[in-house]
Amino acid sequence: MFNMLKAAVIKETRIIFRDKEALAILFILPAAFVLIMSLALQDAFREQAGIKFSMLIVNKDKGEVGKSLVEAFTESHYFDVIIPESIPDTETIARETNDGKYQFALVIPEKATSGAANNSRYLFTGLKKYKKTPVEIKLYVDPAIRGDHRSVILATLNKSIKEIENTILVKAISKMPGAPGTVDPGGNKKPKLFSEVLDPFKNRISDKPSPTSVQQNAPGWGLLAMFFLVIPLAGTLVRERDEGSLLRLQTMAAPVSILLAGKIVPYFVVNQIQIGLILLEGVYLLPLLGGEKLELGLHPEAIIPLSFAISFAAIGYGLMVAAFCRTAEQATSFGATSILILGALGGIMVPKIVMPPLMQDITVFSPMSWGLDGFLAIFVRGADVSGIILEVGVMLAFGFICLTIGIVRFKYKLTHA
Amino acid sequence: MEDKAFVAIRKVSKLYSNNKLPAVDGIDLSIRQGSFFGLLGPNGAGKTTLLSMICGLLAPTSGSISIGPDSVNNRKIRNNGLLGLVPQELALYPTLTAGENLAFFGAMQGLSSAVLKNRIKACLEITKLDARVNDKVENYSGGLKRRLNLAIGLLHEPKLLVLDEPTVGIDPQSRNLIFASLRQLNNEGMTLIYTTHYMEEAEQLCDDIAIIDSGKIIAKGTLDELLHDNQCQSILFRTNNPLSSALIEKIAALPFITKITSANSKTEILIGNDSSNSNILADVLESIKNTGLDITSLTMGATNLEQLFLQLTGTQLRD
Repeated sequence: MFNMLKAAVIKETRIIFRDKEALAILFILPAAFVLIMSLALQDAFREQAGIKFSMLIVNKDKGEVGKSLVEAFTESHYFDVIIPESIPDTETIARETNDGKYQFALVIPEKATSGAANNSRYLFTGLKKYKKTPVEIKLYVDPAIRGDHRSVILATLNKSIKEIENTILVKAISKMPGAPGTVDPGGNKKPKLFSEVLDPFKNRISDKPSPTSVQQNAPGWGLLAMFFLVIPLAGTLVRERDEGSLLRLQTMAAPVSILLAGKIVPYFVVNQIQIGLILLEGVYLLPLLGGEKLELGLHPEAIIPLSFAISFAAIGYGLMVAAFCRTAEQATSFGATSILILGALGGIMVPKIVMPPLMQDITVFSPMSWGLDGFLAIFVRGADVSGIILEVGVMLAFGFICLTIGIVRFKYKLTHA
Repeated sequence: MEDKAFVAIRKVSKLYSNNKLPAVDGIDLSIRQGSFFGLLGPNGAGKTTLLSMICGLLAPTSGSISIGPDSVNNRKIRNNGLLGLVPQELALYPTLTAGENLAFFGAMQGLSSAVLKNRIKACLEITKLDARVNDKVENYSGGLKRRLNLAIGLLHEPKLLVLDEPTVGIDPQSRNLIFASLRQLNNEGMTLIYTTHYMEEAEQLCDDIAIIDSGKIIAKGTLDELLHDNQCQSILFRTNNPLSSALIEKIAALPFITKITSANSKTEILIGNDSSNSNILADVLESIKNTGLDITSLTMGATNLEQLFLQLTGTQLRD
C-alpha cells in the first residue's frame, strides 16, 4: 500500500512541477501580488475611510452620563451600537472585543453620573467630603482596527465626555449661591470629573497601524495562491477522467483512498511551500524593498494548523470543481473565476473593514474570508492556536463538504458515463 | 463457444436511469479461456457498456458476469490482477516519460519494485518501446502512444486483456506490431476481448466473434461459422459506364437479391441465404446484356465480415 501511495505522490508531483504555467500561477503570480500590493497600499492602509464600526456599550450607570454617551453614539452614523440585555463581565468584554466580535466596547461604570456630580461639587466647594477619583470610562478596542480609526474614535469619545463634563459643571455653577466666576474651582489642582479615555494600544510593541498593508496582503494573496491550486488540480483530474486514466485505474488494485491521497499529498505540500515562501517574502524581502516587515504576531506557530486547514479546504474545493466540470478548459476557467470571486468576497482584494455592512455579512460565505480572519487573528491580535479554532474548524468543514460532494459526483459520473 | 467459459456473461442487462431502452439487453455469452474474442457492433450498439460491465466499472441492472470463479463485482478480481484494460482513450500522462507512466500504473497494480522493474522491461520489449522509454509521452506519435497504452495493460500479466479499439488512428507499421504482440500473447494463453470497427482486424485476429446491436447479440461464432450460417454470397462487378436507375431496379427485382449498391461504375450485389440452387450470376448478366454496358471485372464469392456486418446491422448511419 505504501508503494502505491509513494508512486501516486511521485506521479502527481512530477505532473505539477512539469507544468510551467501552473507553477507560474501557484508561485510567481501571488509572490508578485504580495510585493506590488503591499508596497502600493502601504500608505492607503494608514488613511481613514468613511466606514461604520460596531460598538458594544455596557452602560452600568443609571444617570445622565450613561444616557448621554449612549445617545451620542447611537445618533452617530459611524456606529452600529449594541446594548447587551444583561451586563457582561469585564473579562468577557475584553475577550470578545479582542476576538473581533465587536470593534469597540465602551464600559460606563456604575454611578458615573453621581461620581461626576460629586467631583463637580468638590471643584466648586473644595469640601473633602465630595472628593472622588475621576470617573473612569473604559474603551476596549479590537486589535485589528487600524490605528487611525482608533484615534478618531478616541477623539470623538473624549470630546463627548468633555461636553458631558461641561454640562455637569454648568449645572453645578447654576446651583451655586454666588455669582458665576466668583469661586475658584479647585484652585490650581483642577480635578477632573472624568479620566481621559486612553488608547488601549498605546503601549503595544508595535505602533504601526493594525493590520499593516503587508499583514493584510501577504496572507490575502497567499490564500488566493493556495486556492489557485484548483486550476491544475481540477484540470489534471478532468483530463485523467476524459483520457481514460481514471477508468483504467478503477480496474487496478489501488483503492480509491490511495488515488485520492496521491492527489492530496503533493498539493498539500505545494500549499505549504506557497504560504511559507510568501511569509518569508513578507518578513525578509519586503523590508529590503522599502516596505514594512511582516509581523507574525505572538504565536506564529498557530500559522501551521491554519495553513493545513486552508490547504484542505482548497484541495476539497478543487476536487469538487473537477467533479462538476465537463472539460479541462471549463475546470480551468471556472476554477480561476470562482477563486477570484471568492477572493474578492473574502476581503483579499478589498479589506473587509472598508466594505459596507451588507458586504461584510456576505463575506462569511467565502472560505478565504475565514482564512484571512485566522491570519489576522494570529498576526494582529496575537492569537494562539486556541484563538483560531473557529476559523480552522470552518475551513476543515468547508473542505470536508466539498470533498464529499466531489467524490459522490465523481463516482456518479464514472458509473453513469 | 459455450464450453469452458472463462468469462461467463449470464442474462446481463443494463438500463441507464435516463433511458427508456436498455443499453444491453439480456446478453448471454461465454468466452473460453485462451480465446481471442472479437466483440463487434456499430456505434451505440452497447459494446462499451458491456465491456465496462465485464471490467467491473459498471454494475449490471440484472444478470451476472464472472471471470474464472469470481464475480466481476468482487474486489478480488482487481486485487489478483486477473483483468487488464486497454481503453480506447490514450490513458497516459503526457508530461511523464513512458518509463514513468509504466512505473506509476505498475505500482497501482500492486507490483513490487523488483517485479515491476522486470515487467516494465518485458512490456517495453513486447511493444518495441525500449529506445523511447525516457521520452515524454507528449513527444510520441499516435502509434507509439497506442503501443504504450497496450504495454500498460500488460504490466501485471493479466489472464484476461480487454482491448477497446486499440488501433484507432495509427500507422500500418504500429498496427502490425500490435497485432503481432496480441497474437503472441494469445498463443501464450492470454484471453483477449477485442472491440474494433475495422472488420479486417477482427477477421485477421479473432477466433470467436460476437456481433452486438441494439444491446443484443445478433450473431456469434467463429468467422467460418458466421459466414456459413448466414450463407452470404456477393457479386461484385465493374462496368465501363455507371448503371442506370432502371437497370439497378431491374436487378434488385431479381429473386434472392437482398441488396444492391451501385456507385459510379462499381456495383455490389448481396445474395440471400436460400439462393443455393439458383443461377443468380446468369440472371444478373442477362439483365446487363443488351444495355450497351461492358463488364470490366467481376468477382463472386462468400461475403467478408464487413459485408456480413452491414447485412446484419444495416447501413443506416449511427450516432
